[in-house]
Amino acid sequence: MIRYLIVLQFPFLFFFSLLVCLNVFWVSGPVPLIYGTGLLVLALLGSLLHHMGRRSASRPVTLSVLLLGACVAAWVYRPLHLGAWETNSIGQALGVMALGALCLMASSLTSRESTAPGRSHHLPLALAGLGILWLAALDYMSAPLLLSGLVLALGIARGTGHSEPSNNTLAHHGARLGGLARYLVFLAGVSLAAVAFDFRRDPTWIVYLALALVCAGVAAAASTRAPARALLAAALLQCLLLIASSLVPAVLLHPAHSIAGGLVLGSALRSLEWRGDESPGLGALAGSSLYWALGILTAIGFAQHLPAWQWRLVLLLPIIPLLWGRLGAREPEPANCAG
Amino acid sequence: MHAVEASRRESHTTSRSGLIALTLATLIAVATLGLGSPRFVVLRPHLGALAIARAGESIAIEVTTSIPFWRPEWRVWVDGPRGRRELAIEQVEMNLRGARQRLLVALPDDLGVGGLDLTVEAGALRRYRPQALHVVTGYPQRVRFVQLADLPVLGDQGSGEAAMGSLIDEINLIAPDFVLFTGDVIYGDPEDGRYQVLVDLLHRLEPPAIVAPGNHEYKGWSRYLQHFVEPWHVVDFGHLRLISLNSGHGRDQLTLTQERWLVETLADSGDRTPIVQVHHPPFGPRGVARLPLAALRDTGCPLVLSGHLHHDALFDIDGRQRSDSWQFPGPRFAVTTAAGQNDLRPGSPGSTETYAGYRLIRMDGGEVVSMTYDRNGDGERDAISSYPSGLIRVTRPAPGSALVENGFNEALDRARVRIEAPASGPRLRADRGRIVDILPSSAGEQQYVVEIDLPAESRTVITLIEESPE
Repeated sequence: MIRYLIVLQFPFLFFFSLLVCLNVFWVSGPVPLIYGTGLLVLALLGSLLHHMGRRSASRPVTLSVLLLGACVAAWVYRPLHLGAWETNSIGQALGVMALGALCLMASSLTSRESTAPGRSHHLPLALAGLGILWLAALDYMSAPLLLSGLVLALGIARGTGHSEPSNNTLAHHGARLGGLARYLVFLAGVSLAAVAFDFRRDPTWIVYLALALVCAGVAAAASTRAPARALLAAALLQCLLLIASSLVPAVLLHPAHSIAGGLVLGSALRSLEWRGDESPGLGALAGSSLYWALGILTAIGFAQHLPAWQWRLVLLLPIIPLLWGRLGAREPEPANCAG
Repeated sequence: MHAVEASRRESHTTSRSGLIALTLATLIAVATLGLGSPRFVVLRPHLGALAIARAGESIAIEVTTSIPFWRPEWRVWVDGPRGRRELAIEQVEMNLRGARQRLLVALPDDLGVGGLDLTVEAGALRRYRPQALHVVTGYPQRVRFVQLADLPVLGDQGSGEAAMGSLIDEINLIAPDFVLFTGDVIYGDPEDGRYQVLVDLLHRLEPPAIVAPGNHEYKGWSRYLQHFVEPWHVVDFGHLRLISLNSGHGRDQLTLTQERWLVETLADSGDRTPIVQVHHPPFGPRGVARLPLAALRDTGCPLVLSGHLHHDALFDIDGRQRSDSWQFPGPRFAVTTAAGQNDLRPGSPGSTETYAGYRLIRMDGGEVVSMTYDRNGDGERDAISSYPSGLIRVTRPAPGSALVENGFNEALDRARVRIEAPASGPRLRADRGRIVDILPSSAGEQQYVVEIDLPAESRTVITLIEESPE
């Protein structure tokens, strides 16, 4: 499960937390350029690492990155704590982006350590765990940045082997739901990050985000046996969610929106992990960072241009061809799914 | 046997790694949370959303701490014209959400009226919030206040500081109960100390200032937050609830959260009459700050004040631009011309006339008594006009005297003039008006605050004279 936490901490702790903090506190001077460019580079790099690097990573290299990441987290978090972003210093921005790069590398290396997928309950537990970690932001806005470092520190305790052998092979199934699943991860980002602006003044959103991640865990657990059907259901749910929140923005204010968004996210991630015939499950999860990041950025873009809010509906269009080609997807054979 | 050995070795390695991770995690927590040197930040009150209270009342100070459950010895000080005073802390509420603590602080009966700077101490740590507290003598039923937006350009070493300084002198003379700054208080790059110029100027302002941000504050938003802390807030003044919104964002809208907060704050107003200020007007060609209109109407909000357009305008709740009268039922959505001279635009359709100014609003209870100026001098207030700046001023023709010129075509009651006189001399009185306060000034001087009613279009000389022995 720790492997899953390390893989998922980059998109769901570091990246999201940094964007929320930047939206809440803002920065001035040349620093926004560093953050803006850095975030974009990290998002793209995440995707590149996923597509290019199929070689297994050696444990010592991974350990070094984890250790370095944990230390950098401690170093950069302290000036952010409380007086977050007040300094607007270039050094601080570079430090935060260095932490981001290490979090991303740790995520990528860990996902490549072993081709063996984890047990079926690892993804749900990791998602729920991330939700619980987010609750720290109720007291300290930028705490998830530090928690990213703490997750890396936990990775050192994971032992030396490429173990976590699985008697559950979620990995060998022929259905190709990757495109739809990735797009749903993107849309889940669009839905769940729409309120990133208001995290500081209304901490309810932190609870809602935690709720969404816990629900994502529940959906990931529930969709283990029938990920294809769950993904199709999630696609329909996401369509309803986007239509409702585009026509009546107040829908975003309801916890049911977070619950539904979480269910979509969990189903999509489970499906990505499940399509292990093309890439190791964990690698697919690491590769989803880009789509999640793009979703968050799109959400913030729409939040800044509320007159164009209803144009979010356009985002539904790609779902149609993706769904069309995937309706015939077969469920996996239930080989050792007991987990 | 080999398998058992390997398993034992792996288990040993794992437990050692676990120990390392635990140690590392603890070190990170200790290093970052700063157990050795905890810190705190004062969240409220602050410049622009200050605490307004009478002497003898209590105020709440909210702080957030770098580590939870921290219980330092809190001390609170205020600095004002009468020097520094320590305030008694009546109660400390701990463990509020957001790692906050709330200090309930009693204001002594002899604190004196006016603006005060706040200093909160926890051990060796000290946090300073300028103009965070304003002590008033009471909350009058008849209130008058000034609203202005789109200030002169500050920080360019140009005419902006002088213009803003004159404006502040003018407002001090009018002596409103409070002043609303409705956004665009800073233009240009904020990195070069513009905010400090504004803060210094606000120190000169005698009434309490309540500040909302505009779109220009979003260039350097973090600087704005450093000084004014909260993007949107509520300040209660007697029977009035002053709600300041943030429509900047670069999208000229309230966020959904803010909209919800506004509805809840309006509903929670109780007997108080809500007054709303928001930089972008909800109506008009450039007005896009969507507001919950039904909630405003249902809670009896009489006024929603805006700027942004750099000219005067008035709308009713249906979005109709009104040029007939400001006296109509329901909320009035008033747009005030720019306080600075930059980018002024004609207000009335077909007009080419532009002017800088502010809005002077008088209320009796929850009713608006007046909110526009008679600019054409026909004896009736215009429907939309605000007050042109520069028509009322004070000069000092001789030591111990002041010449007040009221260029408005309306009388101004309870104007306040400050006249300096030697502190060591005999006790003085004013030949007109009444002295309401005597404040220490520069070395060897003191300021007599004289309250006086000024007739319309008048010149009044006030002289301090020796009090007769009787």
